[in-house]
Amino acid sequence: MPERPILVVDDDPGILDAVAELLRVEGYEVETAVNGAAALDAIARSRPALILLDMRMPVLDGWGVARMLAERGIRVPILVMTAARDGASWASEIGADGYLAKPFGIGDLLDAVRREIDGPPMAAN
Amino acid sequence: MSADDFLSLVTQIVFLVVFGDVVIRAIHGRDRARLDIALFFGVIAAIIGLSDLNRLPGPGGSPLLESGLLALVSLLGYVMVRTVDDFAPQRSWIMGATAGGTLLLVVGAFAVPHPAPTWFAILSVAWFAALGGYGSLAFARLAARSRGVTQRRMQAVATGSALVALAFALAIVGLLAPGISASLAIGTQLIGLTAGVAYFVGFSTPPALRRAWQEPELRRFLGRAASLPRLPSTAALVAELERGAAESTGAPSATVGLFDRHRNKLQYHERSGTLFETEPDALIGGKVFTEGRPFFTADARRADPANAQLYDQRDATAVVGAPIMTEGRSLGVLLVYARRAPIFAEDDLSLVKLLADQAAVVLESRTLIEEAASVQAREEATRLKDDFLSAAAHDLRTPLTTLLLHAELLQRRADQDPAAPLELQRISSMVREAHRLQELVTSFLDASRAERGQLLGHHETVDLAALVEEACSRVSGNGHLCRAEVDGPILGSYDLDRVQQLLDNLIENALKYSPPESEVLVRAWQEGDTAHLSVTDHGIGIPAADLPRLFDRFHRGSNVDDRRFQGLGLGLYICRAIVEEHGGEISAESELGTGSTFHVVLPVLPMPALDLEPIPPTQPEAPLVEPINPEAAGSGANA
Repeated sequence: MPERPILVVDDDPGILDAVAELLRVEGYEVETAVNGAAALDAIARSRPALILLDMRMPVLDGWGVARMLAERGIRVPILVMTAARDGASWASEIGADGYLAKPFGIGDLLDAVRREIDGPPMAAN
Repeated sequence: MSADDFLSLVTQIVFLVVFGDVVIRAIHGRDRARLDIALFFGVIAAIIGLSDLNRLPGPGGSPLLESGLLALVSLLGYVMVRTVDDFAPQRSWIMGATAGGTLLLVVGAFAVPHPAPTWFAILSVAWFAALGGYGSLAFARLAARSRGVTQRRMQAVATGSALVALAFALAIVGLLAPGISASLAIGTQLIGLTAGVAYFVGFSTPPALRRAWQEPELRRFLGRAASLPRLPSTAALVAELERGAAESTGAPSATVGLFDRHRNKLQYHERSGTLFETEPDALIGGKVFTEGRPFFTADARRADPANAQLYDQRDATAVVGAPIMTEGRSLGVLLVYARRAPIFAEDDLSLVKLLADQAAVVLESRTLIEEAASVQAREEATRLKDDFLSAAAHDLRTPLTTLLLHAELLQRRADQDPAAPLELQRISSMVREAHRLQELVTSFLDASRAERGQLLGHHETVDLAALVEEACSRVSGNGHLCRAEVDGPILGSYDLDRVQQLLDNLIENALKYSPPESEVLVRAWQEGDTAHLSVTDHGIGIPAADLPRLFDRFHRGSNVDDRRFQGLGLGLYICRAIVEEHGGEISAESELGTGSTFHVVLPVLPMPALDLEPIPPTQPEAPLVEPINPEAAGSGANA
């Protein structure tokens, strides 16, 4: 069980609540932010183990968050969540560690989060 | 032989050669202009001959010779004015006065005693000098009004006439002051020689010179031809072809008739902008089109007396036509026409054929370009649909994600513990997301209905002022700042749901692009027969370049950060459709960084858009082209 939280960032309250609750049910510590600026505050406060980051948001978007982190030299794994067609290229654009295409199910979400938090599954033997 | 005699000889030879040439041409094709020109040079030749006889030693100076000379000089003036009339019709009183005066002087020449008194000789010569001056001015005016080869020919003739008048004026000086007549002689001879050459190139232009004179306009037209297919409209293209053909031939007017395969008609673009249609075999154009070969008539009125009035209206007497053909397929017809036949020459038939061939190339290129453009438009439409689908898919994914997560969570819980209590909050979240999906799907359907103009349903009497207040209070209830300023009631016959949708869309839009604390102002008032609505915000504003396309489908402001503001670009498109289907107008004004105002005008009278009366189509005007009697194929004419 990681001592540091997972930060979920999305301007859509429905997704934000659903994802946060799912992760809590799975036993993760979770913080939420409704835009990039709120996300930066939360990152400075609690140094999350993983960020689930929406790209299109008001005030400060996903690109802005990634840029600010790079400028401040903060290295946190990022999982991009987006409904855009070119989400995969956006993810590599900001050097994210993974990419979740909306709509995603619980299985997709938990697999991706576990991979980031616990590292790639060990090969048998 | 003295220089004087030599010049005199050369001048005489020039005039005699020109005389011979124009006589041959007059015999070749007998029309009035050629006969008059032959007559003109015939009179000059006779004057030259008689003067030589008069100068011979011996029985020279006979009374008959002297009277004949004087009569011929008076006659020459009359023939010159007739020639002017051949190229540009003169007023009948001028023709009558010229004929009358000439007749008096001719009779007088034989009536006066011999030797003729000096005053009478001066009168005869002055009569010619005056008519020559008049002719010179008339030809100069004609030159100013014509173009190309015709302009150059008329300039030459005007110069010739001015010089002849000058020569005769000098002759008067010689008569008045016999002492200096010898020193004037060489000048007079030189002027006469130049006049002869000028007349020759003007009236009886050699084909090589004619081609050289046509070349600048032809070259300019051919140079422009490459860019013609890209002109914005077929009408503009046709106008350029017509201008090029008229300038190249030196004719005042040209017209192009294009064949419409689907309607089986020949279509002429009128200068007024209307389209004139004929059967494909009607009029001179139809004759040239169906027979597929060049055609000339010197007198279209005689060719088809039933429509003589039409020719008069169009100033179309002489007509040269050629079919516009490509690889055996007839595209249309090119007609060049003028008020007077001597404008044209025999080889103009082949020139017009050449121009028609060039027109065929231009029209064919245009067809290819149009085909390419329609392929491009189809591709653009496909791309727009593609973009729409991907934008729609994107917008559907967000609520779908929430719905899916909640549903899976419920399923897991139920699997783990079938007796667990229902999570009402989760279910209401799912219902909310399902409603969002429903709204999105509705807006896609609305856009599709708007496309077909079928957005509106049942009309009823609605108070716009009350609607505005309601719409504003709805968003105010959600914690936004919306102020309504209404001057009502404003009653009209509208689709209530759609007008509500319009107001909600405009207000939501205003809030979406404004800072959280800023106020949106909604106003409603009535001016005469129209209701006015306006929605003003203090948001990011709209760049001026975006305003014209603001209400287009899928259009989003260029300053709208796609990543920040989600949207399909359908809201304002649907708003415009709602307003326009009600018979109203929507517009926007904006200043970047200051805010925007959307302004809607709607009719207030109970007048559903469907009751609008159709506007009767306007009637096309009279044709620009002349009908034809197919038997009246004229021969070539020449000046």
